[in-house]
Amino acid sequence: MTASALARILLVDDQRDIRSIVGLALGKIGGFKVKVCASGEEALASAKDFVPDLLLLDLSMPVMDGVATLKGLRASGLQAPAVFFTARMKPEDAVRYEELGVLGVIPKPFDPLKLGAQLRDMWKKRGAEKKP
Amino acid sequence: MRREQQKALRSARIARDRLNDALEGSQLAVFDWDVSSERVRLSATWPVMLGGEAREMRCTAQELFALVHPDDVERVRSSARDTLTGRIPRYDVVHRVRRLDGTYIWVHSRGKVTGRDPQGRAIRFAGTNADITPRVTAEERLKEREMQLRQLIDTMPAAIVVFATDERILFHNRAYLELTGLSAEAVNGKRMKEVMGETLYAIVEPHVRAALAGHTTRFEQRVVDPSGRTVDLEVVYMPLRDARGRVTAAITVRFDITRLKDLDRMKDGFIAVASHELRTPLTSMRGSLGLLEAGVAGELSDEAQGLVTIAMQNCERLVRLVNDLLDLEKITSGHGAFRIALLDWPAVLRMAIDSSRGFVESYGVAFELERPRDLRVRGDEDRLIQVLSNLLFNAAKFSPRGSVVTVSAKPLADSWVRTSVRDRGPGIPEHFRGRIFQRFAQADMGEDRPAEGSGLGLAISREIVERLGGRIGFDPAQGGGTEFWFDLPGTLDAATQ
Repeated sequence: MTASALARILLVDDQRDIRSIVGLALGKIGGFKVKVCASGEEALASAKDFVPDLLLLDLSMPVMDGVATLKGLRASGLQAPAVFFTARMKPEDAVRYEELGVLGVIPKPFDPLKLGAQLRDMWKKRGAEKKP
Repeated sequence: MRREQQKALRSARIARDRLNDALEGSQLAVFDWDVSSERVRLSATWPVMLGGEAREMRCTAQELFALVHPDDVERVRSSARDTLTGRIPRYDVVHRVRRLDGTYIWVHSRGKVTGRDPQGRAIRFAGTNADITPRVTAEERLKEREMQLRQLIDTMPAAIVVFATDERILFHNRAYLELTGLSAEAVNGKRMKEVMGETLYAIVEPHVRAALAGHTTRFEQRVVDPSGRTVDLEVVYMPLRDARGRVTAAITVRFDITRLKDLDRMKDGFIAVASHELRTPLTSMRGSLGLLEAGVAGELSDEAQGLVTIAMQNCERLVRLVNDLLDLEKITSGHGAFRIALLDWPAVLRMAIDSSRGFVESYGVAFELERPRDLRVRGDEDRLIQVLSNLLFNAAKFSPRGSVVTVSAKPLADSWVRTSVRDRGPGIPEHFRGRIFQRFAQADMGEDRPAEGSGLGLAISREIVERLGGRIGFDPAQGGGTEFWFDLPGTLDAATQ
């Protein structure tokens, strides 16, 4: 896994609005290569075609929520670090997600213009920790 | 001789008058029964007892028995008979007697045989009757009151136990038996530890001790009742004192707060959902506007840019409002535990000022921290920074451009600390002062109302400060402007729960 560049992001969110906005913000403004999925199932299906550097997952989704999606992707061999979106953040949740090996949790509503920079920061911090 | 007789008669009369006075004073009626002739002599207090005029009287024993209440007469007769025959040494009966107006009074009658013939037959029988109606009525009332109280306590939806200083249970109500599934026999007179069992007793022991030492304590507890239902309880331990204020026993009251707790949990769930449902569309709105403003969809005309900016600002405001409403709800409902620590106060003040600089710069106002002293404050760092930020934000909003907002902290008595934020603004309008800490109070400000802010900042600040056991207020500052202040304890042991 590389700590040098964050280029490819897999976004999973069940809400079309969020997918368009985040897709635009990360793609057009952030300059990332973004793959957008509407559900955990879709993300699992696309895992073979698109190998991301980072997973950006909505926590509350029907059928497979963010945590289930992350576990599913990990089980299929994808080791890319993850960041969660949530509108129901509670302080005690942050600890739980840290234990899952999640880089961070971004509360909704967020500023799409700053999202790319936020993800890069999280990515860098992780890179620094991982370096010997 | 005659003179001596007269003298003796006079002394006898005096003695009799004195006796009558004494009897009248003590309200005792005296009877003297000549058993052989059936005649009874009654003292002057006798007719008074029955509601008549004071005069000595004579009557027959049968006439006297006829005055006794029909339900009591057999008891009175047999007791008199037994005394006459010597079966019992003394006549001692409480019974009812009919007064002249037909009502009954309660009488305590006592007497004995005062003379017997050589064959041992009673020839005289004397004694007293005392009107004890007030006492009997008071006792009956007391008994009735006690029964009413007992019923009241039994119908109360709280489990009540009173225990003595040796922790033996003196009293319990029905709700306690229902809650514990115990029988009255298993509780009465038993020690608390014996009744509750080791495990449960270990939890309440400090409270038992505290109550017997004169302190009131309360805590919440979850237990399973005999039907298997989980019950949330609020438990209160309180000392019971005698007239001199000494603790003679203690009482514990357990309130079933399951329904309240259930409602609370429902509300929490609702807030979580509402929070999600409100934030999600806001995310999309703000995101879309942000992208438009950034030119993702092409260059905007000045007019379009202006409109997008207005929409953006109001979106931001709505986000703050949602966040503040949820935050206020969280604090007032007692959720979101506070992390209490003794804080390095000058450092916290600096942190609050630094973090407020960004949003305050636009107002062209400078902050100064006055003579930072080495002070400690007991509180939750994040929550207090929130309070300070609210006060700084308000101060900046209402200050003229180029003015200075002063932050200061000074020690008060008992290790308390007063923190002040002083602006150089126009001051708070008189009509607005009483409501300033209420939610959305700024709505009443009309034209003066600032466009920013949720209208909840001061309400949140007050909730936080009060939950930390402190107080918050404001005063017009000398030389113009307003000084907002809050006082908090500066030691950890300042119990404020």
